[in-house]
Amino acid sequence: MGRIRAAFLLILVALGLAGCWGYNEVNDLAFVTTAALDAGAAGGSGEAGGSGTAGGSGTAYRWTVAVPVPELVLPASVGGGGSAAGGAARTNLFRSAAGPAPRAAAEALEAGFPREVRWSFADHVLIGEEAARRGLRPLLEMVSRAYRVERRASLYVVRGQASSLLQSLHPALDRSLARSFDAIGRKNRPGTLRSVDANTLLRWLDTPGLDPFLPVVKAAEASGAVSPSPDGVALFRRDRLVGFLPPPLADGLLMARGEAHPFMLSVRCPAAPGGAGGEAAQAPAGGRPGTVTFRVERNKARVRVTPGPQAGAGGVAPAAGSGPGGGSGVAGLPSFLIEVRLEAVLFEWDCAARTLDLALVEAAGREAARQARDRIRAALGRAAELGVDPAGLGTAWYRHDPKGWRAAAPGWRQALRDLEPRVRVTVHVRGYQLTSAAP
Amino acid sequence: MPRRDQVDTASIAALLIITILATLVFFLPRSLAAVAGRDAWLAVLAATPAVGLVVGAWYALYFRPGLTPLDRVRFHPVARWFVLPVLVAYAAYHAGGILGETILLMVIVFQETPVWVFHATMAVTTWVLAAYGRETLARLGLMVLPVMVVALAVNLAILLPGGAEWAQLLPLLEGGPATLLRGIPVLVAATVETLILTYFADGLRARDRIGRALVWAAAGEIVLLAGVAVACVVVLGPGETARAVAPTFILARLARPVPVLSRPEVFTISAWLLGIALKLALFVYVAGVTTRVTLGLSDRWQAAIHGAMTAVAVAVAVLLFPDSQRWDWQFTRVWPFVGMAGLGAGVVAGLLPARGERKVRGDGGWGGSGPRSS
Repeated sequence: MGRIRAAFLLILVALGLAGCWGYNEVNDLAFVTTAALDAGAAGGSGEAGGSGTAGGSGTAYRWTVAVPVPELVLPASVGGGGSAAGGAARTNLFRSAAGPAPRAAAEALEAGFPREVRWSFADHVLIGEEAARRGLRPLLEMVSRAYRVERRASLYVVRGQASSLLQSLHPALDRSLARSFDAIGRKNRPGTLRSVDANTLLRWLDTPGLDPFLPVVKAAEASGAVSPSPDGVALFRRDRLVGFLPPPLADGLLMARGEAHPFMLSVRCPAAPGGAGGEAAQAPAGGRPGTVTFRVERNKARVRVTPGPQAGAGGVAPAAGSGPGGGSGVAGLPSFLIEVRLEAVLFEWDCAARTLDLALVEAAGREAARQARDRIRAALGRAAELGVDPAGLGTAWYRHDPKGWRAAAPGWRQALRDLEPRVRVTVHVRGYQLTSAAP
Repeated sequence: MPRRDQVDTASIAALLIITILATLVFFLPRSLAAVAGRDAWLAVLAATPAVGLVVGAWYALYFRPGLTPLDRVRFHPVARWFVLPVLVAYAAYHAGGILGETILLMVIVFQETPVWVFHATMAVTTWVLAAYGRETLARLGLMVLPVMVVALAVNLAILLPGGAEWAQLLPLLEGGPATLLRGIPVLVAATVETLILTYFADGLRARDRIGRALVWAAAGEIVLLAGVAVACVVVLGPGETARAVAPTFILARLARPVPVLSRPEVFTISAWLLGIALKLALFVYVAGVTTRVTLGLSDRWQAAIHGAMTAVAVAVAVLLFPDSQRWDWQFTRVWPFVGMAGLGAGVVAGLLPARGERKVRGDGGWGGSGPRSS
């Protein structure tokens, strides 16, 4: 009797603790897989299917969400009937609603939705340019406080309206929107972007001497399909968007951070050892300019901080030997050296010298290193113009000398503009792949 | 006839880890990050001597002679009326706190479930466990601890390779070594909670190996807590760790290995919920047994008193820990002082000479309210 009683109680407790207090049919739920956040007048206009319950002239934020619809034919209860009415684009239902803050806009969206909305499946969040320029804290507030949009949701910036981009997407073969974004965020594949989730962004905002960045996506159309595609990175000053790095420069920033995904690097053909040298001598037949293409597969980066020349009490003299390739060149600042190591494979060899040897490949590797260094410098230069430090030079200084960093932190953004960190890039060519000579 | 409420050293060691980590593992990284920043894990290590001192005190005062606090206090004409009520209040406060902070997280996860459902189900679980007595609690501890640790380890193994930024641990000792000392009161207050295990002292069959078991358990607690603090700092960052209500809970949610296993935190949280229920039952058990002895009631009243103390725990949870802000206030400002009160009561009781008849007959000792073998 005692065991029966105990078993009954345990089952009762297990049911209660598991929260089995109700049920939901899948068709009664709306799983948000991709969401777009816009702000301001831009975010409040032109949205299809918006509830508008919390909108109006005071509207600040607007959510637009994509919800996969399992039914091939949408029932009327979920607003089917074509995109013109804010209905479906093949497999997705789009809905939007506005509110004074992202959380309020989400509530408004749920109120106008005939299904129970589940935000925790929103793995990808697009942020419109205006919302990003206003600052990400309202979004991060929603993410970190509530058990809805998860911290591991990837964030992207869209030039212009995020909702427009979201609703324009129509991946080939009716692939789901979420999987399309998963595909462009894969780590070991060329042409992908460095994804940043909300947790990482929160951690970066909490790291001294570091300004965050987010990947930028655009809509790429091919053969009638419209898919998301990388379009550089967006630079932030703390949580506010201040500018963009287009794709080539974005690679420069990611190389400086040691986070670049695989990418191609094409350089001129190297001069033959002991030969006349020059591009013409190395051009392949036909007079085309010869090129060597590497695929950079891995990279590591490290920022070295070395103290500048010390001055007398209370001050630090300008660093000696500053300028390009020298020190920081700014009074009171240490010298920064960014060491980047790229590992590449020879992807294509289109030069007059058809048989590869160590000297030729090393020469091509040095040229690739020079090009990578120029790209990194250009990226850091653009970031410095905007007064932001996405490479984390300030963080490296903070970790090297916390007291020195704290003393200089108030003037760091101004100092960034004149900072000229040295960049040292080495390219290790790991191999020719399966042949040592062009056919 | 063998006593049904006897325990072994391994159970005591398992319960020691569960007692400290079952709920505090979710909240302590926050307190430690608030005082020591990115050095929160070092603050755990720096508190090792203090943790050892508290555990050593319980060993020296109770486990070596094998007497419970009730043995020491019950027959003392003065201390009986001062120390026993403190022990009851200490255990009831902790039980209510555990209940309150657990439900605090549950209502975030299951927003639509009424709060009273959580209170009721947790109360029933607690009462059943406490009423079945300390041998049940001890055996359950042995079963639950591996599940809890494995769940945590798997969770971190999934999360850390892609989600950790190890450089967040640097620079070390930015605020100087003195910063680490500020974590010691937090760790002491946490370790004092193992006072409830001294109620198992007279149930040990053999005491020769309990010292070594306690050392291993304290070391395990330090390692687990330091590891969780490291994980919080490298994944969330020190500022976010200090800002989050329950940073370890957020860690659990972040782990997601593959889309098909999209919510592994369900396993982690469920496993730790078992430990939380066990810890809650331990406190209610101590509060119930102490109350019965204080009131001079016979053993047959124990199950009812455990039920009453469960109700008290619910009342404490509802009144003192009803929402985040009051939980925060209690956890940061009251809980450490309650811990120190428990430390004082435990030490005072331990220093008292054992007088009167020691209760060793086969009725289950102080905690013998559970089912008897026939």
